[in-house]
Amino acid sequence: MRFPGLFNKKEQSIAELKMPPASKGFYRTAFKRLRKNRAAMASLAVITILVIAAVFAPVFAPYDPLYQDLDNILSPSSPQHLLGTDDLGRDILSRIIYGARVSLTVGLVAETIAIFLGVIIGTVAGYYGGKIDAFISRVMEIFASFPQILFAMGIMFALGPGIINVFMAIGFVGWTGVARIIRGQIMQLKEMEYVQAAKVAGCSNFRIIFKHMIPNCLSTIIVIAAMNIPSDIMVEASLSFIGLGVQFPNPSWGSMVNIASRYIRIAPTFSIYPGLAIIITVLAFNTLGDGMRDALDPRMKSGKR
Amino acid sequence: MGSPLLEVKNLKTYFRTEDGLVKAVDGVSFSLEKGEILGIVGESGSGKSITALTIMGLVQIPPGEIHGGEILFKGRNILALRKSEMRKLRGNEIGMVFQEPMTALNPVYTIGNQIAEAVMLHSDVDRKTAMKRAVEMLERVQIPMAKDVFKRYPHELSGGMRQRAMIAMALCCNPELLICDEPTTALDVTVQAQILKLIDSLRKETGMSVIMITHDLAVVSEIAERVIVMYAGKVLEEGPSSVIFDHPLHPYTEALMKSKPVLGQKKERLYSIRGMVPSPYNRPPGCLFEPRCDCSMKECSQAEPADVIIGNRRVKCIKYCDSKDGNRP
Amino acid sequence: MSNNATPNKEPVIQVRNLKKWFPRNKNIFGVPEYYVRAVDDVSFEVYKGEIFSIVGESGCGKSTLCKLIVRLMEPDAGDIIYKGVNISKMKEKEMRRLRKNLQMIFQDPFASLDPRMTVGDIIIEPLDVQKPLRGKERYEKITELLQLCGLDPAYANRYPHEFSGGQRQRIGIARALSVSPEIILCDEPLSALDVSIQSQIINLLTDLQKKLGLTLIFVSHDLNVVYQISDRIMVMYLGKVVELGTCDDIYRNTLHPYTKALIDAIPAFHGGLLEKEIIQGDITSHGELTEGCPFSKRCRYCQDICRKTSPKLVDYGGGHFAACHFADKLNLLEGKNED
Repeated sequence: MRFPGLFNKKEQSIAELKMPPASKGFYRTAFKRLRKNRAAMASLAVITILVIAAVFAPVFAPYDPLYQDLDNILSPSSPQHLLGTDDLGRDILSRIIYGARVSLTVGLVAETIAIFLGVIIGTVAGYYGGKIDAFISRVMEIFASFPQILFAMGIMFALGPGIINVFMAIGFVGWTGVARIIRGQIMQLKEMEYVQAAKVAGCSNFRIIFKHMIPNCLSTIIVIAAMNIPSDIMVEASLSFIGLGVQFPNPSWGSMVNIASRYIRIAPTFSIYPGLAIIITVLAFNTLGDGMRDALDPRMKSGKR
Repeated sequence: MGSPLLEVKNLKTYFRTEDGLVKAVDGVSFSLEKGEILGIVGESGSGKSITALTIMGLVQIPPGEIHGGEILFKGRNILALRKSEMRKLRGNEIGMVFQEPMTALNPVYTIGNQIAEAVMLHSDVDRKTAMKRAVEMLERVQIPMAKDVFKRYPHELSGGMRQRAMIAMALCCNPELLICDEPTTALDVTVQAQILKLIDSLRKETGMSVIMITHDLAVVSEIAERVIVMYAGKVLEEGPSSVIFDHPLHPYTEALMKSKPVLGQKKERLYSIRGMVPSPYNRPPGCLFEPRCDCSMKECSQAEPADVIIGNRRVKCIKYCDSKDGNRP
Repeated sequence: MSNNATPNKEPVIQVRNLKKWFPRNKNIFGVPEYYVRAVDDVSFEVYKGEIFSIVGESGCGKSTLCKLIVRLMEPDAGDIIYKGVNISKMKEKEMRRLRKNLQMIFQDPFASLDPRMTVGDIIIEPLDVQKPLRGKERYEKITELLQLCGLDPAYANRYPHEFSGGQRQRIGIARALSVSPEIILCDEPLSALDVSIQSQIINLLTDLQKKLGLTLIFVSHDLNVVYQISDRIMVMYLGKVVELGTCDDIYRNTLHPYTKALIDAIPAFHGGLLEKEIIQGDITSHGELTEGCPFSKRCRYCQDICRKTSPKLVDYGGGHFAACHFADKLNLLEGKNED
């Protein structure tokens, strides 16, 4: 059906066409808000440096992380070895830089697995409700009733040590938290009129989920990811610390702290620097996550309805 | 007539926001006699609720700021009062009823508890007397089975009953002024009529003054004696409700009247005011209603028109500026 | 507006004994303590090209009824017949195709538009789902729809939060129109809008209805608005139809005491509301009432029979229905409402 010239000019002007210049999209305004948050921006800078260091580790690291300078074992900071060496004479700075690769990939990959599983399972539970929801909720409760680290250890024992298995273990442990939050949010969104409008328009469930619900959960997902990455890094460090994670001789912050703990009296710097690396990274991700939550939270959005 | 109970003079309440300065209330003046019901009508964003909150001293500062003006309550400028004095004034001498009683009542205490609490806060009585007073108050706002309602939680009551309980709470210390901010907007028509009648009869009983804030012209015409019409933070027109709706002076009031559908009077086509309320960040330079006004002239967009007094009415429109003597209807 | 809706017109929607009860306070075995009868044995017909309004106070079941008709909710019993096809038990897949004839405008313009989609994408979505257009055609359709609803097509790429309430409601209307539906259900489309914007939207809806030959089912609590726009009005109370008829039937020849109470309670300019006798109590949505007239508790004419037997909806001539035992005996008007 065509609607030729239904209204004259005056009728149209009734809707008042004067509008302020287009504001940017939601995520751009959110980023603008984030940029005002100094702590978050500092964290972002730290994370960027870490990522660059990890990606170009061979360029930045003064030594090969496996190279043993047997003349300098457990040496403190020196011009030769800025952060000293470990019990086998390997350069700690280089090992921290290479270790960043492990920590960051664990953070990213494991969290991606957790988010992927969590979003899908949470959405299914929240959207379909009923028996499906009851079943998934029970499973989530069972998962949640184990201490996370214990569960991860169990999986690592079953799968055996190795970086891929670390991803799997952390991902499989992490999805329940994501799923629970997403389930709640989907249940809220389901009552929103625009979701009902999509249904009236004739959208399939698939389209409603992927076109309307998940995009509206995206800010939550981003925040969950940013907040969960540090705990994933911690779990990896803990697993490596107890020897279930990344295997000798590959560098990982967790295993470095583990080995260094034996020499804590003789060479304190050995354990302090990798420990500091963990703290700084976790802190940076946490602060950034906080900032992102503030920037993305619609309740903070200028207050007007 | 003696001195008025409440006199608001050139009140300005501004808000500093991320996007700029919002002049929510911009030079509002009115006065209220003892025992009078004053209606304030306006659309959303007209500043009617902020006016009420400013009188109550409930505007958050910052982001809000009282940019100027005076609020004289019984001759005292209450804008100059200290916080503790203001707190005493609230509840004791000025009561307020909000639009959504559910958010104004605490969900974890019973209705009776909350009213008794309010009684004890403002008068020096023991718990037992306060409880008795609370039941009395509930009876006074015509709640059936007041003793039973006394023990109920807010969510167990219907919207109308909650609003009655709110009124009981606002009235428990016999305030001289009751401010009702859209008290019936969330209610059904039959319940709205009950509440309006209740407020009117309570006013007659106690001799208090009432400020009735609403967006509904008809509600105001039914209950108020005098009406002020607000638009974008300013008072555009003031007058007795018996004449203001029959012979509106300001084009905005007239347009509002024309655009309201009325039961029993089917119009071929409703009148529409074009456009929308100007953005608070981007107000027109001259008369605020000029961009939407049908009878706007060249002068309208240049400077803000002054208030013109015509008899017992006041209007802010350039049409009346040359006939200051007030020979107009 | 034409007031000549006669029963021999062609019905597009027929609702037969529709029922939706919500269980409340389920115990641990899932047995509810009582049911809220949101829609209880409701039957009516909507004719092609008319504006049919459903009025009532909150809790009367008007919104539930609306959702049942567009199948946002499944009815417990009863039939909804659209042009001879029973859609009340239709599979969702079949229903999806039918939805292009049956669109809806929502109450809250701030919640009914997906905040992450541009206005253009929002209004074209029903068409994207039903029979997608591509490229230039799609763009032209968006332009046309926006213009139709009095909006500037230049704003197609903006997001909903940049628009005011009235403009958003126009966007909602444009979305409903995109598939050229036959019937549009409007669920309280004005209640979130300012007075000066309400009349704009009323005029837009009635203009569109006339020019496109739409059938509108208009749900509202505001009798003023309903009287202005409708051809026929249905008054509901606690899930039941209490009165149904043309505007003048309802206003000038009121048969049901509830309708009368509703009309009396509306504030008017110098209507003398404060002097009038106002009906007491409020709508109680508890399921305690199992028999008798749903309005009997508040009705001042209530007799024994009202508490015992539920009155049937009876035609008192010319398609003016009322469900009251004494509808023709009460003489509710007593010379009022004569303006």
